[in-house]
Amino acid sequence: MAGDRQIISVGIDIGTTTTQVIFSRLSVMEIARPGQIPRIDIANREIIYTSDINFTPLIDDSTIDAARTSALLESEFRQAGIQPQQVETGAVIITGETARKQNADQVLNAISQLAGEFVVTIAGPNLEGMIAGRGSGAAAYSRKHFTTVINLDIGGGSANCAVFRQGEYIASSAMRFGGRVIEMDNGRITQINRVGQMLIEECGLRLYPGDKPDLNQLKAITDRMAELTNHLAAGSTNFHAEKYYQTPPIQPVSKNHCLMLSGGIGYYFYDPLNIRNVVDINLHGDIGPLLAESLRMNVGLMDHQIIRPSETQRATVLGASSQTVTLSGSTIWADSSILPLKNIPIVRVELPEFSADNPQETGGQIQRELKLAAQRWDLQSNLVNFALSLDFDQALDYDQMVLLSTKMAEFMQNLPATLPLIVVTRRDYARVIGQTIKNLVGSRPILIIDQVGLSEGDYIDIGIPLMDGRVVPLVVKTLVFSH
Amino acid sequence: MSDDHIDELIEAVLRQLKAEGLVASSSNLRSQADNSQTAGSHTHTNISADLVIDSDDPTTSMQRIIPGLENAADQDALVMLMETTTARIGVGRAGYRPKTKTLQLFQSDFAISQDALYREVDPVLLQKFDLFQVETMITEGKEQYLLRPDLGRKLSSEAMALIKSRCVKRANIQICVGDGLSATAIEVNIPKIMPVLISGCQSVGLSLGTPFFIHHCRVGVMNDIGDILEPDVVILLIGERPGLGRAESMSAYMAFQPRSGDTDADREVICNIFDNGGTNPLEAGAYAVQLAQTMMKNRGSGVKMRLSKDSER
Ligand code: B12
Repeated sequence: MAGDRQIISVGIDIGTTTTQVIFSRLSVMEIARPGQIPRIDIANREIIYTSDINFTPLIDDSTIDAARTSALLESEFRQAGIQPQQVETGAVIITGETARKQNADQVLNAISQLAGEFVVTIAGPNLEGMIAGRGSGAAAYSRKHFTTVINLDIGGGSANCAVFRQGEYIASSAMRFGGRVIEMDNGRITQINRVGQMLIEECGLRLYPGDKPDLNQLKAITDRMAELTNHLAAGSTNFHAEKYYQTPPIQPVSKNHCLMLSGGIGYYFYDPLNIRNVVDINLHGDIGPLLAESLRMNVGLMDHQIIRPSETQRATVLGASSQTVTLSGSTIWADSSILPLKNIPIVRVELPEFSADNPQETGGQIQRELKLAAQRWDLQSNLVNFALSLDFDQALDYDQMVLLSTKMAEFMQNLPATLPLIVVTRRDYARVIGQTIKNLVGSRPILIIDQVGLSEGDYIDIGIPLMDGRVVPLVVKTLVFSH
Repeated sequence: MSDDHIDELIEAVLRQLKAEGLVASSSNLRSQADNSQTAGSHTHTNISADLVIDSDDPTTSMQRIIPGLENAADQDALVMLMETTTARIGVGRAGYRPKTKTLQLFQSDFAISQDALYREVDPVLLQKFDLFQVETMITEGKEQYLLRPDLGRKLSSEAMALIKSRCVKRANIQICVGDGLSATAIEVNIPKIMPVLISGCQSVGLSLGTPFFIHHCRVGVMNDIGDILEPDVVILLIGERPGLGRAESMSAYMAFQPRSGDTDADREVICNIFDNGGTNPLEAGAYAVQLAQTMMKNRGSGVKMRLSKDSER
């Protein structure tokens, strides 16, 4: 079809245990039926290169070796035959315990040559869960089957839960445990991390590096983790579970839903190893396969309708590569001179109900809310870009739209001259609001985009317009629930 | 439909029934359930304080997604599925027949469509937007309009004279409004789209012709308008053929320098303009301005413009 646009996107997942890379090709095209106003969307996502599952180069048990990681990624780019400058979008995710700030910054610095202009970095357990659930296929399944899916992505050091309803991300939460809390070699314990220690104590066991535990002892530990998994999926907590939560629990979901497991543990959940003794489970030098076995046997989890995801082990990296970028609505107002923009914080404006009889009052309320939003953002001390998220769930009439636009134009006039006006709405009004504001503010740059819902505390990256300037690519980073 | 309008209708029906002796004058039709306040969907119509309609308005969006099917395996999923379509799914059945509620909804929807088709556009609206009215060649009312689309595509000679005398010629943009197949569509969308079109054209420096309203209008009338006024672009806002229960949908048909002999292949259409489900009329207006600019840049519309645009690539 004429006018398709192809984008190469990279996903890089640097975890406590493994590092993976996936390159995808996204096709952006017109999808509206003729006669409808245009709608451009990502119509196809094709994986063009999948790396091996490499062990993450570490300096000690929790510090990533930045230089060696960078070298590893460089060689993956070479093998894929892709130059860094060909990559237009994507995400780098540094997960688990490794997300510790200083070390993460070192790693990002080291790989900055590889991550192009519009590759974003993502951290935080809620976001990881969401990306994994998109990559596993949970989000797509929930859309296709008009249902709710809970995705549990369990890896070496963390368990991330995300809920999708009819394709939309609803909630997420995370706990710190996984298959690698105890490391083993040939039946002997080589390392126990802090979480592993907590679990051992709670089971009333005494195990130390060098010990040769029996299967029942390890089973007690993995059963305990299965119980924690139960809490994670149910959105419940208790005195013990509390210690493992990295986020607040999710709101319990309705009875009719499905459950999917992804991550390394998800892999062995659906394709179990035949476990006869302790040595059998040490395939990867940890107790992961036994945790998968405990989950398979867990009665509580059987309450959910369990579905096999389309991707297990590579869910997170796949999500990062192909599911982080979305597109705005296709009738927008974008002065492209100010793009791209990175890490734009969202300030939400609580709009009043538009009253038909008293525009004066509504105007006053809008003005107050805009002012409050600016105060929350603390304009004085934060002379950087921010975006207003306008939330209203009603169809506007002309006067209401003009009122809203006028108040925003006034608001813009009070902004420092260096700042553009950036506005995001969920409903399809960007072009008309843009047209109206532009009329009032003249040459000052504005950016009005729609069909994206954002909350206060979100951050977005906004890319260079595509398809004759008709859409902009966006990456939404939801950090609201993070600790 | 406004409450007043419903009241009027009901009053008329009641008068008729009383006259025919079918209803006792002191009616005992009283609701047992008029305290139900379900999401404002209750048509609480009180005629002379003695008639109350006790059933909910079945046409609200809330009512439409209440499944009639009992014991669905997954009730939530059924509701979500119903939300995605206007097809009548999940309605259940009473033996071999549709349930009362299904039938009521069907009949109400049919009434909405018929009303939209047979009613005339409110003259107050035309006044408000300074739209003078002209006629096509239709002289015998709606029945003829429906049977003779060819006559709806030609302006009457009075219309031509009036347009000549009252309108600015050779403007960039000539906006016209036609009732087409739905008066409702015009009434709900014109107040929103008109000012966006006007201010949108002004802000990008496009000159505007004198807008007017065409009674008993078909899309093909754009050719006559082009012949008489010679604008660069004609934008005709016209009521679409109503669907079952969907009466408020409007189209903007657009053509670059239309002339007699032109066909639909020379035109563009932005269809399904309505709030809550279609393209909202404000955004559609802003898009129409953008499309008009594109037509002027390419000096063409319809298939020809597309072909020349594709060969440019
Ligand atoms: C009725 C109808 C038709 C009828 C028209 C019958 C007639 N002679 O009156 C028939 C079956 C012929 C028809 C055919 C087509 N239609 Co038709 N049609 C409709 C429908 C359902 C209602 C239109 C309406 O209410 N018009 C208002 C009345 C008052 O206008 P009218 O003067 O009585 O009738 C004229 C218009 O209807 C116009 N018309 C009808 N379809 C189209 C399509 C285009 C592109 C244009 C410019 C004009 C046009 O042709 C009629 C004669 O001039 C709309 C749906 C909708 N939501 O609007 C689709 C719709 C307008 N049609 C559409 C399409 C695609 C077509 C076809 C191109 C299909 C095809 N691939 O062959 C053809 C082309 C028609 C042509 N004349 O060249 C699309 C338009 C999309 C676009 N912009 O390209 C619509 C929106 C349906 C959709 N959602 O896909 N159509």
